[in-house]
Amino acid sequence: MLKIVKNKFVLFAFSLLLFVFVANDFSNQSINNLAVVVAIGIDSVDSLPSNKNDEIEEPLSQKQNYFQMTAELALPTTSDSSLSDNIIVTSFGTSIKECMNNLAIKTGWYPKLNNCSVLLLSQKVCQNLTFDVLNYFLESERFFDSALFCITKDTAFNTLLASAPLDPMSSKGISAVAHRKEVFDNTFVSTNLKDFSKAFYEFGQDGIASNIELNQIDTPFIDKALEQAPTKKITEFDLSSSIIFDQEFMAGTLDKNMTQAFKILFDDDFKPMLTAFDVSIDSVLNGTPIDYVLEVKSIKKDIDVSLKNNTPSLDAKIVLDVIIKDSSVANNSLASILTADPVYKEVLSTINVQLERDCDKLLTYLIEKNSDILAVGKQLNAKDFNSFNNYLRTLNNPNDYLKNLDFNISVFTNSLK
Amino acid sequence: MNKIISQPKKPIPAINFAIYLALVAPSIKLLILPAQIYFLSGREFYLPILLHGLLDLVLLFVILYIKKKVNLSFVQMCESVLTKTGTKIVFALYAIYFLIKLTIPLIEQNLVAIDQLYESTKTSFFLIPLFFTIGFCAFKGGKSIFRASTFLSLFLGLAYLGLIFLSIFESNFSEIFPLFEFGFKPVAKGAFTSTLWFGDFIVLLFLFDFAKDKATSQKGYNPIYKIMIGQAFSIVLLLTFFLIILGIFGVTTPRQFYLLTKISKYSTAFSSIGRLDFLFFITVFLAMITHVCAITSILVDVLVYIFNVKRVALAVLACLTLFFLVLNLSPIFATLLLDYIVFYMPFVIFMQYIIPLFILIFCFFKHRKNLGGKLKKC
Repeated sequence: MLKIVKNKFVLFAFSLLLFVFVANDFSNQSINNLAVVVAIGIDSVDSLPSNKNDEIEEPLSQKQNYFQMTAELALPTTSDSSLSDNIIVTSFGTSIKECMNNLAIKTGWYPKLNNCSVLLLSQKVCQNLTFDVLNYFLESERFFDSALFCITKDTAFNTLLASAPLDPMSSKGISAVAHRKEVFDNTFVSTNLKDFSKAFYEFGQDGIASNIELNQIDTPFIDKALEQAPTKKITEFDLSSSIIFDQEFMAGTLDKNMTQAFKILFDDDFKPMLTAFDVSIDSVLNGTPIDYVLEVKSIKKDIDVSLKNNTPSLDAKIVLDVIIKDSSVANNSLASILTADPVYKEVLSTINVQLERDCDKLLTYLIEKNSDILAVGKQLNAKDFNSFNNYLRTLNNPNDYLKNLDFNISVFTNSLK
Repeated sequence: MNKIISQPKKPIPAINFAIYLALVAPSIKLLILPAQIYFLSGREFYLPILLHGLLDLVLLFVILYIKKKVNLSFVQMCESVLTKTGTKIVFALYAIYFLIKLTIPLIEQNLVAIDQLYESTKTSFFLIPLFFTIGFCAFKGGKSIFRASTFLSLFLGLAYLGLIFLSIFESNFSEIFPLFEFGFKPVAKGAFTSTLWFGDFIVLLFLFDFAKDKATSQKGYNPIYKIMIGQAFSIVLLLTFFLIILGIFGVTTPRQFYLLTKISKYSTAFSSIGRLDFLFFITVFLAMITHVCAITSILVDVLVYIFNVKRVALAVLACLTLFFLVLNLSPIFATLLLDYIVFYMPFVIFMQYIIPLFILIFCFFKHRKNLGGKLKKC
């Protein structure tokens, strides 16, 4: 009898403890009170806005950098409308941690960074303060470094304030553009924070990140209820160019063609659409210049980085298999409809010349800016670190190893069928 | 005389040990250890794992071979070599060793739960049910724990597969070059410091008993190979994970703690659903707790033997109080234990490798005469 009572007592005590444990909310908040940060933008400002002066004390030294942190929030709403306006909160501080604290003071919510998928830096920050900002996010266990890392030409505040064509939230627009699938001809660099920081900490590799340019367009927005045609400001996010870094500082901008050439050289899965402009072929339409759009079906790359006679050299041989996708003038012969045309030699050679020119331009620019985004130094070090170190000793500044780079890039295009 | 060590009521089958060594024991080596070894050894941080794995494999074979020949439990071996008083002294040292061996995984698990599983909780309150579980398992003894780990093995295998599948495509294996840029010295340093996380054969030394293994009596059955295959599998599993980690994080590995929660987040497969890999991680987390339970049960046995406690529950209570003090009341102690790991590592090596080998080999030569013709057969 006593045993049964004892056993029941143990069971009861255990279930009571379990209940007490499970009933704890672990200081979780109800879902209606959550403010989830979906994007963060960082600007560098020279002085604080006048009405914000009471937030932080003025430091003694005059040359102090202030950060402006802008957070885009997603509020879980119970209303029926699926679209809600983007909510932007901003705060100032001398460090990112201080900005976070000021944001918490201002809104009453400590920012939850788990769902932050975009980190934006303005170009001004990247010129001298890149890792002052990034260190906070890299150290933080709350911030996932799989977030998209972008740089804006405008201020980060303005970029997050803009609304994307299909979604009022700008961060969704940015990530939708950056993560486009290859069928849409994605020529953009999409770097996550981990890859960017890894490139910085590795010897002989510099970072690259996509550059956002804002294009404001006024489009007529027809509201059926009002039967009016008011104009609504819509922003396009242009990510076709990219920013290259030398060590931790911004070194220059790659334009659209150079970014595409970089993606062809570097990205394994990248299959772009190529355009051959003004190709005149005598057999077709009596030599009228035609533009051709070609789809790349497969790319074979043979890139060899080596140290020849104490000079680094890069030999790349790229073989593309292409088919014609479109042209500016229709070729209406029955044969071309029934069977896929082989691509004309003139078109192929135009593409070859065009791509080789872009690659040459890219490498010349990279050498000029001393930005090793192709990881030449890393590959040389991995191949034979002894001879590479010997080569580095011959230089005045070890970071200038790219200055003597010999490169030889040849592109061959084959027509599929 | 205690009941558990010398005369185990319920013997544990060899297959349970094999599964424990293959799947459960590697789980604790995947949280902080990769970052720590990379900090010391650099790019070749998978080599200390390989060295330790091979060393463990050899020692496991020696232990099992001698145990099979002599057919005594570890306590009986100790008593025959060192007498009863000597055994008590050695076991007191083992109690300290097991306490260190338990505290570091517990600190890791405490940190990972606070930092990764909870959003804003900063207390170790969640440890209370964990301590109840550990105490209950230690009270029930070895068999329940190893049965639990065998039951867990199916889910655990799926979890490991899931984690590998989600991360292997993001990994760039050219990161392993250049090989030996800074020579072999950093590798040795990493191997020395990581000793505490290895040496899982110590569990078998205390708990595995050939005399009680029912299947041993069958003809042509040899549990040694089963257990050895389990240990070999753990080396393969660990090397796979370490190479994936190197491929994903490269030089930034020392900055990444709790690596199991991080390696899968770059996969785009679940970008719209969310962090599905946490499901796999929590399964592996259960394995870590199982490992802690197994070591605690040995610690309780050792305490029971030293103090001749009649009630096992008292020893369990003592263990749990000690854990709670170590983890909650003194956070300084926890950090000191991790920071000054190099200073007590010689003690760990002494208890982990030298004492068992010494006792086993002496016992083997002492009992060789008694075994007589039996030796030649085997």
